[in-house]
Amino acid sequence: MRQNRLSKKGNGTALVSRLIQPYAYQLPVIVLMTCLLFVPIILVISYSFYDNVIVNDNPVWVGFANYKELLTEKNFVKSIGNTAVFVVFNVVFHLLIGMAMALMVNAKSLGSGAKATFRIIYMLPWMFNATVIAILWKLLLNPSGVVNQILMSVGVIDLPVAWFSERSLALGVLTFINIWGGYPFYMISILAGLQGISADLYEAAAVDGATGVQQFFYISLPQLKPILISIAMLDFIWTTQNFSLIWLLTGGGPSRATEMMSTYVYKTAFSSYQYSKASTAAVIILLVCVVLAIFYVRNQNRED
Amino acid sequence: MKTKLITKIALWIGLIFCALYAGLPILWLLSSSFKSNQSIFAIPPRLVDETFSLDAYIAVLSDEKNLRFFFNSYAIAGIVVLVTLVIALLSAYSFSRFNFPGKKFINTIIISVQAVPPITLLIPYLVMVVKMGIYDSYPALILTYVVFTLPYAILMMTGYMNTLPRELDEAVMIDGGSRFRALWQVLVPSCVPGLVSVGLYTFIQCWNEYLYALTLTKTNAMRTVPIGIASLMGQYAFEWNEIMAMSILGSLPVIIIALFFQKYFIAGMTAGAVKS
Amino acid sequence: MKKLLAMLLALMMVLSLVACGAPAEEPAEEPAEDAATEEPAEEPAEEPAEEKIVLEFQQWFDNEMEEGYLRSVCDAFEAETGIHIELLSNPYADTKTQLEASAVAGTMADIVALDGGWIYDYATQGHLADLDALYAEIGMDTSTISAMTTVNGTTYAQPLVNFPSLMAVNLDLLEAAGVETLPETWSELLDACKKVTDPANNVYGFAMNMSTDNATCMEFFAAFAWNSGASILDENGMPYMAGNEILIDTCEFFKSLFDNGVVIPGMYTMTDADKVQEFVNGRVAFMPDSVAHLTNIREQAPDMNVTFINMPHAEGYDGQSYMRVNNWAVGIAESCEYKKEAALFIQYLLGAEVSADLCVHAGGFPVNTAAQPAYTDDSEAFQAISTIYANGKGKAEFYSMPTAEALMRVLDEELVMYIDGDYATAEEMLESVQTQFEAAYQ
Repeated sequence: MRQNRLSKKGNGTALVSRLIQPYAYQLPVIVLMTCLLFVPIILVISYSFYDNVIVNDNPVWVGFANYKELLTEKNFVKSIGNTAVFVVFNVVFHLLIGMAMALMVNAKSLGSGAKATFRIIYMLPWMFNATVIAILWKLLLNPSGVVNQILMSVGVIDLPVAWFSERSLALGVLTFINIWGGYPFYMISILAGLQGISADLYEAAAVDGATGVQQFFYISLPQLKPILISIAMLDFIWTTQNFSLIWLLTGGGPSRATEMMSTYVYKTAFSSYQYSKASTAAVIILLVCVVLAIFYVRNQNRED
Repeated sequence: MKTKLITKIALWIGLIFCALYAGLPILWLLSSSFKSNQSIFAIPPRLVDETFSLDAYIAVLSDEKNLRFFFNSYAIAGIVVLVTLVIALLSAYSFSRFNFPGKKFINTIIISVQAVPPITLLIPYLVMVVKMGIYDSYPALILTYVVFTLPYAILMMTGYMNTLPRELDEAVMIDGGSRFRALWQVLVPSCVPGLVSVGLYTFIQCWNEYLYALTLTKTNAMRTVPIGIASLMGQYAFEWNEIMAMSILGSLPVIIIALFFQKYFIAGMTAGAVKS
Repeated sequence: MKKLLAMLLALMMVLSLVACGAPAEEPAEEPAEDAATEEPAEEPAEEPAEEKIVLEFQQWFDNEMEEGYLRSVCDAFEAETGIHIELLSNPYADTKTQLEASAVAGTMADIVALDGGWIYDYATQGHLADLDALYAEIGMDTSTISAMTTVNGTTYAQPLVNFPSLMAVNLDLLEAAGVETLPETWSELLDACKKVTDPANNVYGFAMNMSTDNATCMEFFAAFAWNSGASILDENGMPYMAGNEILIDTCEFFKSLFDNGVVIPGMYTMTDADKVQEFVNGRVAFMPDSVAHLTNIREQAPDMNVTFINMPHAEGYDGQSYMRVNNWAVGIAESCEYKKEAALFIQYLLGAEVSADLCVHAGGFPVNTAAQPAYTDDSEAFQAISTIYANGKGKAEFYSMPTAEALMRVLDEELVMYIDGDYATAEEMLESVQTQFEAAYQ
């Protein structure tokens, strides 16, 4: 409404400039994204409709054949399943751990020094890149490494466990490591969200005799809902793409037990030189994430 | 009173337990960087042993090649943070203060482009970079990182700006100032916490990126820290302690920045969180 | 504080506007074709000396040898010919990604290092130049060059240094366990492993890397079969897995190592580096390994008594002994502007003296039979390696297969499933492998 009042002094050109203005501010983004992201994305999408691109100078248009082939391929379907398990557990545990840590660090009874200290300690895993995290956990979980030694001395296990080489364990172990490396993002975001909730709400609840647990479920959680949804969505997208950690720790093995869509794409492109197939897999990942993004934007608009 | 004490004890137990969960692996990383290459895998494992020394750090830092990697990482991450912040600020301003046809569409696009696994874009992207004539140069990496960090930066900045009352910038415009001045003089200073948190996020992303840093460059003069870490893992020789030392050195700037800007960082996320 | 920060930020914004001005305009210039040609001209080295030829040499060898050695070799070449070699050194594990990306983008270095498993693919995709023609053009004498990697009869890659893969043995562990003779057959190996294995003290008989991040580990596995007289290719050069009796025996023997609990835990995801690490820490008695690791083992475990033996073979085999031989090979990019000069460099590297010296520094064996490396290593281990190498024949049958890397990975994955009991028999597993291998030929 105010905008209208402001523009009243203007004439036609002002109106045009006002219409153009929002786009003008988006111009750098639009230009950069179009040149550097859309062009390669469109290329990748088009690859998925051709028979072996890049290696072949004259690829043939094959329509949806690549999609049909891929979605019926045992190994790809398995990688979808693994990715789904990996992503779901990651998102859920990131959320739970991040929430627990944020609530504790945000506790009123805690001094500001202690708060800052714990905050930094909890943030630590976020500061290391995937290569380092992979090497570190490889060291820790080595059959003769620290973790096995401790577990054996406590009596939880009798013999050292080869954490990455048991087909039944490997995916779980990778998930555990990725949870460790990724929760700080949630912790920080949730902590920030908690600090943004008005103290009045809690005071009013306390007057009504609400317990801490009740306050959490009736005030904190509903207030945090929008931010929880957005970080979970971003996390979903980021975790789906995780490549380095898996590649460095198991290479997708043993015997494809930890094969993800990302490692599948890499192997298909860089070892088998089947770029069309790799692109098709990429487009499938993209589609899933676009659907999520649409859901997210709709959710965001409802909040406004 | 008693229950209060119990909750307090429970809280501290929880805090310490979580600190161990988060910190112990890092402590092990730190301790390994002071060990000799052989004793890293020794049994029984010990936190500090007789091979304790700073040799690995000295080896890493006395290699000119590594210093170049650090310099490159700083230069690239620094410029990317600045460029991303400026572009994200402009875009967020538009999202936050205007209603325009296509707003939702652009928003959806910006979010969903982060969904493309970078590895699948690698080949077409590389071909493009080569055609542009910026292969193996700073601009190649800078442009790449700007594009990859922009979506989240825009999301965060928009969220942050939504929390600032419109009256702030409109007051400037009523006084005859331009929109640009409103953004520059009023919004930017009030956005500092948001800018800090977006900046830190961007910095971490750039500092840690590996795949594109590897493929878009070919000479050591243009390479970054993650590649430096990887090149310590040869085909026939592995310097574990130096890998650890370089990892610590590589993460140190990020930790220091996070420490220094902690207050702003959380504050920036707070405002962004409420209305993101 | 806040004001200061705001000011700082304002300053940063101004700076960054200036900074981003340049890169932001770049996309607009995209259609301008000259942008690509302009760029190299900016490098000062190229401008003044029009006649000076610069060749890029992408490899991982530099990282594996003493610092500055490869540079000095290139400088000596430059002093002789005036051709400058620019070294582009990559970590080995990343070479493939970088090479593949650069091949597709047309930025492949002039001379590239190649792993055996990649040569077929890059040659058939037209990225590598025909070395035979170039050798003829520069009049190179190849009569003393023992190894050249050919694809369909044409040489596309030139090995520079050979590294046989044999079985490394920790003699201290054998002695402690009372094993007196070094095993020559599979059953002797299994017996020795059984005696050595002591899980309570973290000591195991056998370790081999099986992680699919680098599936060339399957060559170690195949070496058991090769040294028992098997071939994994039939007379037409097609894969011969299904119904290959010796290979079936090899699978069964390999599984028996697992069933008897003599292998180190974690082998399925063990990388080459992990394996060597376990060995130098004295936790494993036998490991199939490239002899190139010898220096590394000695450095990290100076007190250990180490030797190398031939890969144990099937009972009763007494024919020719075969070993896996891999090498540091180089090829010339098809896109290289100065192919003749690049060939001259390869010729230089193969020269009797240079080649000998290179082998001494790399700890490998020359491909030029005229080269007489003056190895300073007079250890028992190195003597053993030299003797076995002199009497054995090299095998590298995977390298003639399309997408060799992917196929070795398939074998690895199926082998794990067989060991885990997903297949009732090795025959069944190899049939499945055969089908997947044949698919790659279409």
